[in-house]
Amino acid sequence: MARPMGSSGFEAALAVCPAAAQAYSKYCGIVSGCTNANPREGLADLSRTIDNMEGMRDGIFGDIHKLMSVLEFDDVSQFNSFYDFVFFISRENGQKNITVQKALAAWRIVLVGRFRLLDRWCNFVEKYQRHNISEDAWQQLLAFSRCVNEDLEGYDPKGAWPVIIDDFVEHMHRIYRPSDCSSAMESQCSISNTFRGLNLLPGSKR
Amino acid sequence: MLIIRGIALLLDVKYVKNVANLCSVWDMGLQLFRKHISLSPEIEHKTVTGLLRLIESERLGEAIDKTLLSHLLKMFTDLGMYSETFEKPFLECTSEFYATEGVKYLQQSDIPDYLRHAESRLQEEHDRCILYLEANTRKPLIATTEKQLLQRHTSAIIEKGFTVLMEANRVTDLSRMYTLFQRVDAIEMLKQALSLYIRGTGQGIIMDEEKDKDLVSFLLEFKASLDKILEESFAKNEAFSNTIKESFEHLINLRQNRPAELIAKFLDEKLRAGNKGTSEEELEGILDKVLVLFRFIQGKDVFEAFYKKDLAKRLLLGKSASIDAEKSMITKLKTECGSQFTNKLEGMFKDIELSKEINDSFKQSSQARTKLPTGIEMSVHVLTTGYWPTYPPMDVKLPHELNVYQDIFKEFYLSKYSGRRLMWQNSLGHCVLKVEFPKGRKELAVSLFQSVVLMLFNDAQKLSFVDIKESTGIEDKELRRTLQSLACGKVRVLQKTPKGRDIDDKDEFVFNEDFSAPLYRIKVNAIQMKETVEENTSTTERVFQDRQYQVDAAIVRIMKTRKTLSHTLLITELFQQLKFPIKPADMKKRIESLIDREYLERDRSNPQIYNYLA
Repeated sequence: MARPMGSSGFEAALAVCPAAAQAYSKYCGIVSGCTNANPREGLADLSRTIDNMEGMRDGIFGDIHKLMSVLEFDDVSQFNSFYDFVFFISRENGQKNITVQKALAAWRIVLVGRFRLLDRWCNFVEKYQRHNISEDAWQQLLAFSRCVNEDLEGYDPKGAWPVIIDDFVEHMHRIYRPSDCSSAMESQCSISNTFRGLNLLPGSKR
Repeated sequence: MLIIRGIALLLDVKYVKNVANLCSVWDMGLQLFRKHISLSPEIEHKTVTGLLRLIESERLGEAIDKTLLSHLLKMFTDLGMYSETFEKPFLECTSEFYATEGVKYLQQSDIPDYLRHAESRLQEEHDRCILYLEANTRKPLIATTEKQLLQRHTSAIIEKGFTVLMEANRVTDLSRMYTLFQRVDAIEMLKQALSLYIRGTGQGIIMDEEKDKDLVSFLLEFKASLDKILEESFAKNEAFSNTIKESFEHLINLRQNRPAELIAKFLDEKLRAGNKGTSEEELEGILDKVLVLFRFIQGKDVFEAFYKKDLAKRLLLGKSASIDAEKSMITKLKTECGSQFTNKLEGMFKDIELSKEINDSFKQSSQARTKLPTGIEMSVHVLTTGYWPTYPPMDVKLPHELNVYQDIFKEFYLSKYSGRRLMWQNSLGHCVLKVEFPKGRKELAVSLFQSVVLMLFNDAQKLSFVDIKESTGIEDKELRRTLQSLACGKVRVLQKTPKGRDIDDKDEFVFNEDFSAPLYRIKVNAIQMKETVEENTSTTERVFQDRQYQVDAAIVRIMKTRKTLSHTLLITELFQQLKFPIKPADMKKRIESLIDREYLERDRSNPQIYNYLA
């Protein structure tokens, strides 16, 4: 079986939360294409297996933060697949998308310390988002958290961001930067400076 | 000097001509004179200031000795001192004079006066050149005048006067402004002012929902006045005409969708029967003008939806003022937008014509002659589903005779065109009922629903709302509307107790025995022509729904050919393909939805790129 996570991390994970670790390991196997089956069908199978055991999905979801605390992510792609795994686990009853409530809970676990605007993002989604969160929106948020600064520098309004992210940025601009551009520029610099010392977690681009 | 030359003529001819470096007597005289003048600058100065003062007092309106001026200036020219000694100080003096005059005049008089003044000043200077100045002074002189009187003040003139003139439709003054501004190369500025004026003036009216009713006629008038000004004041300048077009387009599309709807409704009003006092030609003229507005509209699909809905009602309820006018409008739309835009509308006309034939042959058929119940006449419009607006099916329990009639017609129609499916659209039916009122016999033009309700009173004196609802089976809201039109409108065929404007569940209705009216035939079915709120929202919604499908289709079409495309390029192509205004956010939503439905995916290495999933 493929060992997608740091080996020390995996041993520890098996000890702390065996079910979650196993599921994650299988997930990585399917996604990375190491097993022969078609990934899409493989994932559907895995999903069905998990759902067949009552309470399993919720149990794994509950153990996400434990799993995360022992796993070590050596590079971006490892964290990527873990992040996608969280979406996979958050889906209920074979649904394609996840509810806002579930997404918020999951984000608060998985993006803590990795997305500086996490609190504001969650507040925004809680208040304004009424539809479920699609996989695309889920994945794009991770990309957004990586390429956008605290001050939203690096965001391109003409880019391909999902509408929910565009709306979030607009909301942020409206609330936190109603003043003119020059002072906004100044504050931008000062914020970047303040946070330059922040210790970056592995798997984070900057 | 003439005399001297005369005396010394021989000398001149015989001697001077043959010896080089010697001037003629005449020239020598001039030279000597110049030398003496330049030796005493005081005289030179006095002469020049004298001249300038003379000119200035002429400018101030006093009569002066023009011959003296002319002679003196001629002298300067002969002495070769004109440009150095006179022209320079003269131009300086002119510049100074008009600089002060321009400022002063601009302050104390309004713009039309100022422009008129400037124009006459320029004319005066021009005349001056002809009368006593050297010809080549004209150019710098006029330029100086223009500069001081106009160029320096262009923005002030526009700011202070342009809007006022436009509002008051002062064609001549505007024309003057145009000519003067053209002289000083300020046309660009005038054009901008025009654009600003159009946008500014229209904005308030376009955005004000309360003025929706008059919007179209306002726009028509506004456009007409602009066209008149363009023609008479701005010399039909092409650039100006483009500016007007652009600004107008901007103006109309400031508010989305609603103007298109209003234009369609305006046309409906004009094309509907009962427009007394408009001749065919006048109607044509109006249609043409409205078409100009239509051209500016970006969301033509909204217009189409509403136009179609209204056209359907005009055709089906026989309310069209003139079929010729209707057809001419369709032709106009066709030349404007292509046959794709109008083929459904044309289909509607075809249906109406076909229906006439079907009705005729039905009446002559054996089924009709043998089986039809007597005493009623019916004509049927057979409509092709795709051409007409969609109508929500409305159930109603028809009187027995009508049901029989419908069945026989259906049998007849299907025997002619097998394999088709007929559905009755009860909400569109209309009838003429013969009613025996105690005070006289009347014919009532009513809707099918109204007649179903009225026919209940053939067998009963008094009916409650619930009774009527049960025996007709008409949907609650529609029934209330129907009863309201019969018992609370202008023509009260029924009487309601208790009285009041709204229909209550407990209300009871009796046939109005005292009904009387001056006319024999009375129209009660105006409610059918009227647009209900639901109709309006459903029409708008359908347009939006359609647009979503169109966006989806366009995205899939583009991606199918390109396979892989960046977000920016996709959006650009979409803007080119889609013919209605759309916000980028709405496009994104459709893209996301297509990703969700697995038509597209984001590229794994670059989320800005989409791949088409076959």
